[in-house]
Parts: sequence; C-alpha cells; structure tokens
Amino acid sequence: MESENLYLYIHIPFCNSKCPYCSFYSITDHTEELHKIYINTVIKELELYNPLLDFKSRILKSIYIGGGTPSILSEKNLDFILKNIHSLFPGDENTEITIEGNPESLNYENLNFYKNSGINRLSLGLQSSMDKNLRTLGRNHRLSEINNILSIIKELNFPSVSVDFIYNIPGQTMDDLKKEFEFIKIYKPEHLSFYGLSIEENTPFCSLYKNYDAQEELYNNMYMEISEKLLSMGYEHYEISNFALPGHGCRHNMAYWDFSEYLGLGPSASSYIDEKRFKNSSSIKDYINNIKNKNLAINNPEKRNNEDLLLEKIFLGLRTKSGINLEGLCREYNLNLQELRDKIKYYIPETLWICSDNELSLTTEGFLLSNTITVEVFNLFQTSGIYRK
Amino acid sequence: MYIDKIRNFSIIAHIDHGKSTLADRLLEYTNTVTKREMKEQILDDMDLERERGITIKSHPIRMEYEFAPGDKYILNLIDTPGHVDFSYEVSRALAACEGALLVVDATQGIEAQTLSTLYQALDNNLHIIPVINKIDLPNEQREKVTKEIISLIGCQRNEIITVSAKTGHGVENLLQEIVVQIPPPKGDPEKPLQALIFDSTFDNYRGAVPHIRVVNGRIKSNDKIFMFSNSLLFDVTEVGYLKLKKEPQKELLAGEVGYVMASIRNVKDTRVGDTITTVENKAEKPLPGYRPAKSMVFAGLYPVNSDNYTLLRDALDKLKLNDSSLIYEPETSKALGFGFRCGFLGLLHMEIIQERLSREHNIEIITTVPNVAYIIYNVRGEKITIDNPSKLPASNEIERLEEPFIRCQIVTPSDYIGNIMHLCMDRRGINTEMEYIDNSRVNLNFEFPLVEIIFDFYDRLKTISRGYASMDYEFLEYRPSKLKKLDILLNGDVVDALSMIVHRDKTYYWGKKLVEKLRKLIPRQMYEVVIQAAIGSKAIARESVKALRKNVTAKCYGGDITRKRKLLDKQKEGKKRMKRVGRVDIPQEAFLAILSLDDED
Repeated sequence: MESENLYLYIHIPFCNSKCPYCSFYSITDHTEELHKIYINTVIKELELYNPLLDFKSRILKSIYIGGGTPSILSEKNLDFILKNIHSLFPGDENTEITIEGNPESLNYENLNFYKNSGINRLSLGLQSSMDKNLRTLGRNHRLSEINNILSIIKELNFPSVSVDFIYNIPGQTMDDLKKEFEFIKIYKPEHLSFYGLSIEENTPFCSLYKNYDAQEELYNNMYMEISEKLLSMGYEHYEISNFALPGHGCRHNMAYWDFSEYLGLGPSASSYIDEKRFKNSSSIKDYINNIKNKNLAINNPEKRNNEDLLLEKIFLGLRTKSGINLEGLCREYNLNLQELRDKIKYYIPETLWICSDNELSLTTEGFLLSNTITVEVFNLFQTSGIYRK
Repeated sequence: MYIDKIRNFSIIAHIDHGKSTLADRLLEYTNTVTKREMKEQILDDMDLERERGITIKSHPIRMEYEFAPGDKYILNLIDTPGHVDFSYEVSRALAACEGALLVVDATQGIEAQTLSTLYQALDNNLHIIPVINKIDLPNEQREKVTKEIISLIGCQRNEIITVSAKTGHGVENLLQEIVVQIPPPKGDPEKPLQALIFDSTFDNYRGAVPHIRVVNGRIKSNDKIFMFSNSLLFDVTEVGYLKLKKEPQKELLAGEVGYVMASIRNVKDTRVGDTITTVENKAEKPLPGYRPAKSMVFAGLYPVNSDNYTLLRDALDKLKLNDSSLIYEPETSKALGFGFRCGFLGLLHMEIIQERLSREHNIEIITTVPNVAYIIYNVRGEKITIDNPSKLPASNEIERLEEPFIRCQIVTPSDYIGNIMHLCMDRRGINTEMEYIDNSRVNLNFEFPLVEIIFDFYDRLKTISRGYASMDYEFLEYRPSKLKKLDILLNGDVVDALSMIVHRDKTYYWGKKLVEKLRKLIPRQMYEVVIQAAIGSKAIARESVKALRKNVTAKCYGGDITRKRKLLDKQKEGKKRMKRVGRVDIPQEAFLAILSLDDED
C-alpha cells in the first residue's frame, strides 16, 4: 500500500445506445451542452478534493477515463479534462493514461488526438470477433469495422492496447473460442480482459436469460481453455479475468486490488481514500447539484468494520496471481500460521490453491471458486485461535 | 349470596374467529380497561402467539359488570390454548369454568379446531353460549351458521347471540346473556379448602404464582397450604384477583378465581390440575382430573456455535421458569458437541421453544431429529429407557424393544373417512372404534405408535381433510415392536445427530426419503458429499451432492468493492448458520429434514 500515490478515475456517463448486458451508469439522451456542463462539474469536483488530498504532494500514477462511452466525447472536451488534471498535479512522464473506446465511435481523428494528448493506453470494448456473437450481445459494430480501427491503432503505435472479450455468450460454442484466439494471434494486444457473461440485475439480459448462470460446465471449460491458450501465447494470467504480456498489466486496476488510494469522479464513480470507501450517486442531475453545493461523497462514507476489512483483503488478494500474504495476516490478526496452513490444507481441495513462502494464491481452477474459497479462508481466520476483533 | 353473583367462563374459538377482539370488547364494556389503556388484543402476551394466531398461555381476567342499576356481577374470563399439544391444559382451564362462549365467524362457520375443545367443554358440563361474530362483514352468512350451530349443539335459535367484536354491536347484550345463561359456581366457603390450579406464571421476585379456582373453602395470607400431587407444603404470602394487574385481597372464597403467592421457588412444584388444600383443615380428596406432566417428544438441542453452550444452558433455565412442562439435561454428540436432551409436550411445543431461544435469547440452535422414549429389555434382563437413538444398544444386546402407543381420537366430516383411514393405516394405526356424532360427522378412535404421530401427521391430517378434521390423543402404554436404528453417514462418517429408530418394515422407505431430502438440503460445496442411510454396517440408500465448481465474481473493477463484497457477506453469513461435521457444512434445516418429508399418498 502506497501512501503518496493517487489513482484517478473519470466517468463519462454518455452512450449512443445501451448494451443489453451492461449495468454501468450512463444516459443516451445527451447534448453537447450537457457535455460541457458535465466536464466543468468534474473538474470542479476534483478541485474540491485538493485541500484534503494535496495534489501537489502526490504522484499521479494513473488516469482512467471510463464510461459509458468515453470515445463519444469531443476532442475539445477531452482536452479540457486532461489539461485541467495535469495542471493540478506535478508533472509525471510515467502516468498511465487510459481511455475506453468502442469500435463504433473510434476513428482516425480521435485516435490520433488521443495519441498526441499523452494517452498511452487504449481499452477497446470489442467483446467478440465473431459477428454472430456481436449480434447476440446487441453490439452495433462488425468485424470489418474492427479490422479497420485496429490497423489505424497499429499505425499510430499506441504503447499499450487492451481488448475486452466476453465469453459464455448464449449460442457460443467451445469451437467459437478458436476464432477469438486467431484474432488475438494476429493483433497481439498487450492486454486482454476476458469476462464470463454474468447476468446483471436490472438489465434487459436479466429477463431474457434468467437461468443462464446455471450453465456451470460450459463456463468452466471455456475459462480453463482461455487461460491455457493465452498462457501459451505469452500472456500472464495475473487476475481472475485479466491477462497481460510482461510489463503490460493494468496499473490502474491493480490499485483496486492492492488497497491503493483512488479517487473516482462523476456519477456512480467509487473511491478509496483514507481507508474510507465512498461512491457518487448514480444520477447526473444529483451529481451536478451536489457538486454545485460542494457536497462531496467523502462526507458519506460506507459503513465498514474490521470484519469487512479482513474479508476485503482476502477477497481482493485472492483475485490476483500474487495472492495474500498469510504470514503478514497472521501476525496482524494474532493467529498461529501453522494451524491456519493445516486448516487450509484440510478444508480446501489442494487443486485449487498454491502456497509458496506463505503466499496463498489460487490456481486457475481455484479462480473459478474464488468466492467460496474467500469465504472459507475468512471463516478459518475467524475460527482459529484468538481472533482480534 | 356472593357466589350467586359470580360467572366463570371461557371462550372457545377457531383461529382468527375473533376470540381476542371479543375479549378486548368485554374488557372495554365492563370498564375493566379504559379506552386509553386498551392495547389491541391485550390478553395475548407473546409476539409468537400473535404470529401463529394461537394462544399459548392463558391469562385469566376478572371483570365487574353492572347487570342492572345497583346489581353487580363478577365475570371471570379464563382463556384457553388451542392446540392438541396442550389439551390437558385446556381441560383444566375448562374445569375452572361453568360456561363457555362458542365463538363462530359469521363468514366461515364452524371449523375443526373448535370441535375438540367444544367436546371437552361439553364433557365438563359447561353451559355453552353460541356467539356468531363478525356480523359487520358484508359476506356474513348468519343464517347458515345458525343452522350449523343448532345442528351441532342442539340449542334453541334464540339462545344464539350475534355480535361484531370489531364494532361492539351486540356486546352489551352478550354480557347480559352471560349473566342470565351461565350458572353461578357451586361451592361452600365453609368446607375444607379445595382449589384447582389451572395455570401458573413465574415472577422473578415472588417465584411461581399459581392461578386457582377455589372450588370449596377459602384461602388467605399466612395459610399453610398442601399440594396433593407432590405433598409439598407452602406458606401463603398473598392472594388476590387477576385483573390487568394483580390485585391483592384478604382472601379468596369458593367460586372465585385468582392467584396465590407462596414463595414457591420451583415452577415444577405447581402442577396444572393439582389441588391445593390447607394443612389445618385438610380436604379429604383432591379434585378429579389431575394428570402428571408427560413429555411425549424428545430432541437434542445444540448451539450452532459451540462457544454458546453456557448461553444455551442459561436460556433454557430461563424458559423453564415460565414453562414447567419443558425438561432437559446435558448430553453430548460426536457430530455436534455439547448440548441438551430436551423433552416436550409435542412438536409444536418444541417449535415454540426453538423460536423463543432464537428470538428472546438470540441463540441459533441445531435440533436433532425428534424422537420418543423407548424401553429396552436387554439380554441381561435389565430394563432401560432411552430417549436418544444414538444410545440404542447393539442389536445382539436387545431382547425386546418397546415403543409408546397412544389412543387417538379424530373427528372429521364423513367425506374424508377414506383418506384418513388410509393415512392412519400407513402410520401403523389400529382402528378401534368409529361412531357418528351427527349425520355428517364421525369420531374415529385409533391406537398408534406415538412416533408415527409426532412427524407431520397433524399437518397431513389437516391437508387431506381440507382442515376440517381435528385430533386429540393421550398416552396409552408401551408395546413391543420390531424396530431398527437407521444411521445417516456423510462421506462415510456416521452423523449421530441424524440417527433415527424406525420400524423394521419401513427402514428402506425412511432411508430413501431421508437421503433424498438431505441431498436437496445440503448445499454444494468444495468437496463432494456422499449421503448414505445404513442399518448397522449395511448401506440401504445413497445420494450424492456433487462438488461445486463455480462461484466467482468475474468482474471486479471500477472500484465499487462494497457492492461486490455484499455477495460475499451473504455467503459468509450463510456459512455461520451451518454446522460443520468433518469437511461437510450442514445447514440447520438438514437436521430437521425428517419433519418436512412429503408423503406420497
């Protein structure tokens, strides 16, 4: 955990259409006028945090512009955001700056602008290279358009490109995965996120695919296949759903899993500052109002206790390849390390985890059961020896 | 004479027919309670009772009613519990009365639950005043209900009172009829004291407080009293009337209802149905009808969290203060650790205790499969009583095994005789008698092994008779039976808390049903769970819960950790409520799986 570093997230809650599986906050009814008001509000919110966080004393490790669909924001507006951020923080060549984009709204103009304005990481919401899957997912782009965008990206030489994939799509077979691997082989993105489709509440997919999550076997087979294949292509499986070529892990996302301090700007954005978690409301109207009244979300942090903190440490740690440090945790919670290790050995099947040098981490098979294992490890902590509450 | 101005009565009603509301109205109209003091349904003490819609504890109340200017009467309302587990308590409460209001819902008519208590009331020669309630409702059918009542108890049309407890309509008239129709008690205050204990409560400072109906004689402070059932002596410190609060009096006379305080430390020293008399002027005989407490159903109670053993013990001690029919003693189980073997009046009693432990004392408990007490004659000729199936000796040690039998009475409309006979045969019942009560209702007498009744028999009976049948039973005797111990194994280990004693002809039936039910109740977990039923070393049924292979939150970015953690919170709370035996996590419901098995009729 680093105390002087800061990671910044900016939410762009605008889309041209809602994808049926998506549960992130955005609106489709927006105007350039609203965009302008919005970006001004975001910078205002940022400035309001300056007294508390003292930006000049911080190292800005990452800026992540997500959404919504950030790529529909005009270059002018994006420039405004970036310039204002840079003016508040000390200069740093090494800041990872990511923008999310979807193929429909990317073109040479904005891609070129991104490159020139210092954005060094592009996150592409591809989801699948197969048209039939794209149709099922309700996406408007097709493979032909993607190829076009990708060649532009290659031409512009972005230092790091990340591509999002979804698997376990209704109608998708094990065989179909091969097509995704072929695509990856051709374009060799530096970073990949593979998300198993989960049906989120309050999305159109929810009513369409009610019992879909029950398809355990296919999901698992696909997951194991993806991990194995990507490994053979040189990617490191560094988090449950994330893969990267050496040196290209997503620095911003790592902050979420290792208890670094991050600040999220815009409606629905979450933050972790000063060991407090807080989140902005999911409504542009309320957000603009709140910032106008200088009403910051940090004033309403979420209620958490020591039990919650321990659970988070185990939950987030086990998501990553590096896992959790059992020795450190045992010292912190006053537990007998050997006793804990013996219990883990007894209660959790050995194919699911590895423990080397007292670092407990999960195997690929273990990742699939990470929730169960997290709860079990937490339970073992609570029932071992003197647990300091 | 004073005694001519007393009326002792009870209210008999089906659930939700308005007994409590009517009682509230009576309190109000006699000014026993002012409108300001009135809290809805003031006589029901516990939330639990409210939820189940049944009265568990009676709470007698004394009202003063001005029948005519200057002509005052004392009306003692004695409430009765309404479940077969408590039929003895009901009978003693009725024995304290001369009359009863039979309350029937004008939209529902006569229902089964009322019948059993009604017959007890008639057996006790109580005068019945039929009351049709809820006449304020638009769909009331008073004419139809009137006919039913006349057919049932043979009264005159003009003896039936119509009321609306909700609006108060007819309540004044009802009060008049109570005075006119119900006879005053008969008793001589000069004769030796005979007082019937029909209930008792516990006060932390005063000890057990019996509620009594003085039949003959009188009782006052400083009297030395004698209990017929256990020959114990006590000094009376206070007597009084029971209004909303206790009202001390100089003395209680024959015909009156009230309470006695006599520094009785142990609530089990005051037995419902017992007779109190004085040492100085002892009555020759106790009043009739006394029956010692008998636990019918036993189960092991264990805390989910073994650290809570002392808490459980303290909680049981506290519950017992108010419930003398609960018995318990420490026991251990290989699977569950340290706990208590408890005896209950029946399954409802057991459920009430469980809920009170959870609600009033905040302890989560595991209850083992409920069972009855068996008598074993072993090869050495010794007679042993066991109330825990895991204590059953090896089969080669057993000469003879006996189980308790009951005499059971089922009252049902004749339409359902066929289904009920079928159910009873299935439960090893022997039909001993069948008689028609009237031209549509029949009374069936059976002898059953008690164990066949304690699991969901009552609910099945209600289901197949659409709620119209009612039942009552009492212990008959122990009889030899061909019984076997059925064990349940999880991943090869016997879980002693799940063992049952079953009839030899039903081992496969119960074994198969149990493992199937357990398969549904035991959640998937990291290791496969193999469930087997066995008699001795022979497995007779098998199911398995296959290992869980997926439980993952695929996406965790965007920083909203709290939302993702909430799912884990739920899973972690769920785990806390399970008992771990070996590597298997077993939910509480699994231990009671036997209670919710479906009969395929």
